[in-house]
Amino acid sequence: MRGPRLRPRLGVVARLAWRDLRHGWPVTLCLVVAVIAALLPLLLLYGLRNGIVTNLIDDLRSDPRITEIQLVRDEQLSQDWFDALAQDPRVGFLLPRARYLAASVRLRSAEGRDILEPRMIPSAAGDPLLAGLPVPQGLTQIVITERVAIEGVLAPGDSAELIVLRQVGDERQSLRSAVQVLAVLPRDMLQTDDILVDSALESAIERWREGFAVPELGWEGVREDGATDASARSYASFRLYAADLRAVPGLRDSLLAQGLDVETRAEDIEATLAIEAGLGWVFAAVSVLTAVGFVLTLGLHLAAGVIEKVGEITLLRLLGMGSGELALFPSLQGVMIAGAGGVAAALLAVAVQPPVNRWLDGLGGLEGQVSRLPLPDLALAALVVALAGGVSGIVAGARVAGIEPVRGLRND
Amino acid sequence: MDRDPDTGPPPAVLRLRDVVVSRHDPVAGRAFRLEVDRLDLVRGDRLGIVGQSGSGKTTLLALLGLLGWPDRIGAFDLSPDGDGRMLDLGPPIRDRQAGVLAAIRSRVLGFVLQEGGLLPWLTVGENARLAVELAGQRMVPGLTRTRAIAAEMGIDGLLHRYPATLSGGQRQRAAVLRALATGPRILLADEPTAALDPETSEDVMGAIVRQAADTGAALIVVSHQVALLQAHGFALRRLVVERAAHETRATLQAVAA
Repeated sequence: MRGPRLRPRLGVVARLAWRDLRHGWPVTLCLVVAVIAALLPLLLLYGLRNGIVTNLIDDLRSDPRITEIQLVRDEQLSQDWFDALAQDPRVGFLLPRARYLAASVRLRSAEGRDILEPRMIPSAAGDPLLAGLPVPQGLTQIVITERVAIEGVLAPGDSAELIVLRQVGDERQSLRSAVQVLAVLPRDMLQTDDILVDSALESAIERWREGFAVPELGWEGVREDGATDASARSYASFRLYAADLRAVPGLRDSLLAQGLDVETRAEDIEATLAIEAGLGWVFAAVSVLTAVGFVLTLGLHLAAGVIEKVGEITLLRLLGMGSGELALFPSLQGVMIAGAGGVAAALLAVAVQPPVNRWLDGLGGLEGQVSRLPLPDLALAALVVALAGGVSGIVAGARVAGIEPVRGLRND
Repeated sequence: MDRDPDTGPPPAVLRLRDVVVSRHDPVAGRAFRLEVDRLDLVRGDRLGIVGQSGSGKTTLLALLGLLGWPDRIGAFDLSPDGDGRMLDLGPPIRDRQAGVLAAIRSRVLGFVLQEGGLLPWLTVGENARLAVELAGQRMVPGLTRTRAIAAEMGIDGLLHRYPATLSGGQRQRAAVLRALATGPRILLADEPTAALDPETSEDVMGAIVRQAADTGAALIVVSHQVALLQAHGFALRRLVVERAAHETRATLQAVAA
């Protein structure tokens, strides 16, 4: 005779658990429907929470200025300071910026229209303001705002002149630099009279205004010592965008802690994130209460089933099945009932989501895809519910394990 | 290996010596003590156990079914292969090795219970198949044996039926089929005909005896139906009860033919 088999025969127990459920299919169906009834509203609630929060955050994300952090006053910021900040993973885009007064120029269109005092904004690849637009490169390309375009009757491809003034002693000097309009920035991105230029152009103009020569443009002035350490240079300001809107409050606090007076829209972001957190807590509370109720209900049913099935359980013990193996019986039934209910609820949620979105669209200021249920989230929900079903069978399993096979024999 | 019945006595399958089981009877509020001085079974034996209610028939059946925990064991030997080579079950019983005893029980013993003992959610054939599977036996010989026994018992047409759709007699025959599907060395039947009418009882007991004889299993039947047992050639042992002040003592004694 071969040695005794002590390893649990999970497949056999699972098959028997399934056959028992199939045999009592009306009760099984009721339990699965009960799981669906508990889970489906929860999934729809989750979809609404997810959709509303996602829409709010998407609205914020659609405006690149939401992640902008502006310096209120000009400071003296070293290259080392910029290098250190650029290493911060919360930083999405960072460029040094000239002094406020040094950044003002005059733009004259080819037809001779002057746009008074537009301000240069340094730009570079990755500029959040220029999403989808070409980035000005070199000393001859500019991107103008819509207001500048209207005022100067300028369009992409048009030529224009930058007129830069400086005061040297009593002498007022000016120079002109030919530029080409590369693109027009829509008004909803920037409503001011500004032009975006390569940061090299902004830097060159600032140096010239400070009295230095800019040989690459042929602008006369004091020749800078070639040995000047670039890292010793300081900048008055910066263009800074956080990598994500969630990073804005933290980045703002870091800069404030350095004594830099900055402006952000962190309050708007924090308000949205507070809504997200609040709805998250509400959903978590509802989920926990539902889960407790579900586990208790299914657990009590499975425990009651043990009383009804004492005969079958003792027979299986007589046939050689171990108490540990049979203890899995209720938990496996819990997994099957809850798993079936979870999958069915997930499918139903997917099916009812479009009509729910159509119904809610336009109601109470809601718009777009109000309910959002990502498939991975639904799969995870079904998995968690199935596991909860397994947990609900633990008490019943302990009762099964305690049933001695001798109970299968009659009492005399 | 079985011995040739023409050349020697049939091989022993069970040997008990000086086994005592004690338990507290919560209903009577007193101790109950079952003493088995000597019990021997050989291949093909038919043993009927009779006794009044409360005489310890269930306790004895539990003991023989490796479900009880004796207080004293002189010897408890079983022949797993039915060839006379005995396995000493004293150590695993004393050490309460439930898993080991469950494995032996599933392969060596067969049970027929008062209410049949079939899983209601499996067909008759699946009940028998499950017994073979849980005994860890190879499925093909087990299923072949099942079909052969079912055909001999005239219930091969019931293999795909669920127990709830069967009559009482059919259910008991199906239970016998399930019990014999594993080829047990000893078949333990607990009041297998108590719930049946006399005619059906006769049929079912006949089927049990025939199939046990065909498979060579020793048969132990606990029953109140003494006449039925005698009619089918059972040797009878009676559980005799003596009541003292704080203890009920039951002993297994032979009944004169």
